[in-house]
Parts: sequence; structure tokens; C-alpha cells
Amino acid sequence: MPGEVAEIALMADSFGARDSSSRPRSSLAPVIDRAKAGDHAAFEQIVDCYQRRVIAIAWRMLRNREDARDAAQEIFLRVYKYLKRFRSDREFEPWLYRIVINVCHDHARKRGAPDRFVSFEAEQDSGKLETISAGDDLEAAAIRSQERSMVAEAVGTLSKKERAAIVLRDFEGLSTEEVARVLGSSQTTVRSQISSARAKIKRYRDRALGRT
Amino acid sequence: MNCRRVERLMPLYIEGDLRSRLAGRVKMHVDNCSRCCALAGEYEESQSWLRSTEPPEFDDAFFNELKRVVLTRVEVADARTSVLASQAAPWNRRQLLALAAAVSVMFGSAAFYLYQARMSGSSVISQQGAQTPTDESDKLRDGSASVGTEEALRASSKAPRRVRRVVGLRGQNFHHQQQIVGERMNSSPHPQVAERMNSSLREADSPADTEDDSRPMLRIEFQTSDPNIRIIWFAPSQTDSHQSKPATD
Repeated sequence: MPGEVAEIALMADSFGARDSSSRPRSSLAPVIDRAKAGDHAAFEQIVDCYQRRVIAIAWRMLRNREDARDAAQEIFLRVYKYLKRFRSDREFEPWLYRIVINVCHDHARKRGAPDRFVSFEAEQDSGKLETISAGDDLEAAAIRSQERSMVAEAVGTLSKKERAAIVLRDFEGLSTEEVARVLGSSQTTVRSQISSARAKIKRYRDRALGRT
Repeated sequence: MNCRRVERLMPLYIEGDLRSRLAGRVKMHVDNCSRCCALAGEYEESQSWLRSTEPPEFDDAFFNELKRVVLTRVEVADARTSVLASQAAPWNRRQLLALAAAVSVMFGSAAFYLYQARMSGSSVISQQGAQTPTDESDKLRDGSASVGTEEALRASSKAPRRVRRVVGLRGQNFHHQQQIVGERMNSSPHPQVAERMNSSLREADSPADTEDDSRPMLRIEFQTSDPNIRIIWFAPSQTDSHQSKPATD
């Protein structure tokens, strides 16, 4: 809706920006510097530190375990390849997020076909269902998996850019300004994408619950 | 602020993405409007539902495997880079740039030369191209002067250059070329030129020193409206046994 975009643009002008440049430099900075110098052990530390977060974002973007794993490998390879170009006076995480989003977009493009979604049954059949602890109940795990499927499908209804914006803003907790920097867009655009994405997800949930 | 506007702002309001003054106005409306209050509740539920689900748990084995693959590929990439670096080591940056520039110039020159050779071979009606397809051993030497009169040339040079360039009169294209000439003569914007072109046919003896056969040949030259394009047609003269047919039949 053009009116909506215009309104969000007006809001953005007076939106109180949070100054992320004043944020202290990451404690990983010395490790990053060593990795830049070609220290493999330092790079391994970076992988250890970020792999869970990278996998989580990749999974939310690609909605598939195998694709998320492949994308994560590619992400860390790109980090290693371009680490020499990374400016030490900048923050590492936005730079990493940008790589994550770009690789996920590339991966989705290469995959070509519509998003594959792996259902609970398929996960169970292929033995990929999360490990269930002894006290855990299979039914509870099934419900969790189904909920996850629904959320993944809801996120799947979003466009590529909306998905990236909502994953970074609502799941990773980045500010709108940070999301805009990671995605290389204006804050107005990001707000518009986030607004549209939240509305779509609500509509999806309403449909799923039979509210409409 | 009306409900419609609040509805539009609601996705940003519920997560605190609106500036404080606007958020205050929305809040004031929501507090007084049961419909918008319910809508805010639905959005909050939707957002909590979205956040409630975590990605599937990936176990340590998964992450160990991921790290192992990444580090292996990094080592492979490093090894490849070091091979390239060792090959380029004796050269400094300037030398490499100069070498690349030299190679580019060489390729460019070769391409230009080939292009020129190809263009000149196809656009000029060469003497080789006038060989009769029926007897390729007959090699004729160009000994005649141009036939088009100065007047015709002058007239034709003023005419718009709409003539399609007639390419070499080689073998199978000959009939096509002949057709083009016919069309040109009929459709010439200057009838007098076409007439002169017809009248400019003249008989010429073939040169006496042809290689093997000194058959007399008829040389017909057409001057098209384009002064740069002249069509030369060789055919056995009337004294030859194939007198009535052009040599290209």
C-alpha cells in the first residue's frame, strides 16, 4: 500500500536512532585480528563462537536443516576469504550478518525450487528429529515440531527481503538501524518490510487458527 | 487518530518501533477503542508465537562436523592460494600489470587483424571472386578499364546510398548477385544510370596469357549507383562453344 509506505517514511524521519557506533568493540577483536593475520586457531575460535547463531539464522532463512548446514559452511568460508578486507574499526557482527544473509539468498536462488519444508514426519523418518531426552515426551516433541513447522511456513510466506528483515529484527533482536545497515537499505524501507512481514505472519496465524 | 491509521501502525507499535510521540497517540487511541485494543492483543500473540519457536536443536556432533568441513575447506583454499602465490612470486605487482596489459594488446591486435582480413575479403569484389564456377581453372586477369561514365558516376554519387553491398561473386552466390544487379537496375532512382549500365556492357577479350586456356571471354561490368560497387561478370564470348550461356550457369 503506497499510503502505508509514505506514512512509515514520515515516521522514519523523526525516529530516534540508536547510536550503535558508540557500542564498545567486541571482545573478540583481538581474535579477529589474529585470524586476519592468517591464524587458523583464531579462525576456529570465531567459528566456535558464531556457529550456533549462524545456523539459527540460516535455518530461519532457508527453513531446512540440510540447506542451513550447507549455507553455514559457505558462510564461514566466505568469512575466511574476506576477513582480510574486514576493517578492524568496524563491528564484526553486522559484517557477519551481511554475509549470512547474502549466502542464504544465494543458496535460495541456486536451489531454485520453492522452499522445501521438512515436516515432523519426514524429520522423524530420516532420524533427524531433535534428540529427545529421557524425561521428554514424544508427544511434546511432536507438538513442538509442529509449532516450528507452522512458524517456518509463516515465515516462508514472506518475500526474501521481508524474511531477512524479520529474522534480524524479531529473532536476532537487532535494531531497525542495524538491520538497515546489514541489508544495505534505508531505515524507512526496513520498517516498511518489517511492518508488512508482521502483518502477513498475523494473517497466516489467523488463518491457521480459523479466525478469518 | 482514526482506527484505520492505527491499524496500519499497529505492526510497528506492538514492538516499540514507533517514535515516542506517535506511539503515545496510538496508545491513547488503543486505550479508548476496544476494536483496536483487541487488534493489538492479536498482534502481541502473533509475535509471541513467532518468537516461541526455537530452531531445531543441533547436537555437538553436528557442529563438530560443520567445523571440521569448514577447516578442511579453508586449508584446501589456502593451499591453492599458496600455489598461485608461489607462481606469481618472482613478479612484482607492476610487472604483473604490464604483462597483463601486453597480453591484452596482443590479443586485441590479433583480433583486429583477423577482423580486417575478414572484412576486406568479403567487401571487395576481388578478381578471385570473379572466377567462373563452371571452370575454376580459368583464371582471368583484370585488364580492362572501368566502364561507368563519369556522368553516370557523378549522378550516382549524388543518389542516396541505398545499394546493398554486393559481396564477392563466388560460385553459388552468383545467381543471387545477378538478381541483385537486375533489381538494382530496375529500381535505380536514376533511370539514365541504369540505362548506361546496360549500355556499358562491353566485350573484352580475355587476356592472352591465361595459364592454360586462352579462350576469349566476355567481360561485363555493371556500375551500380554506388560508385564504390562495380559488378564484373565474366562469360565465354560468342566464339566459344558455350557462347549463349554465361560461364556461371
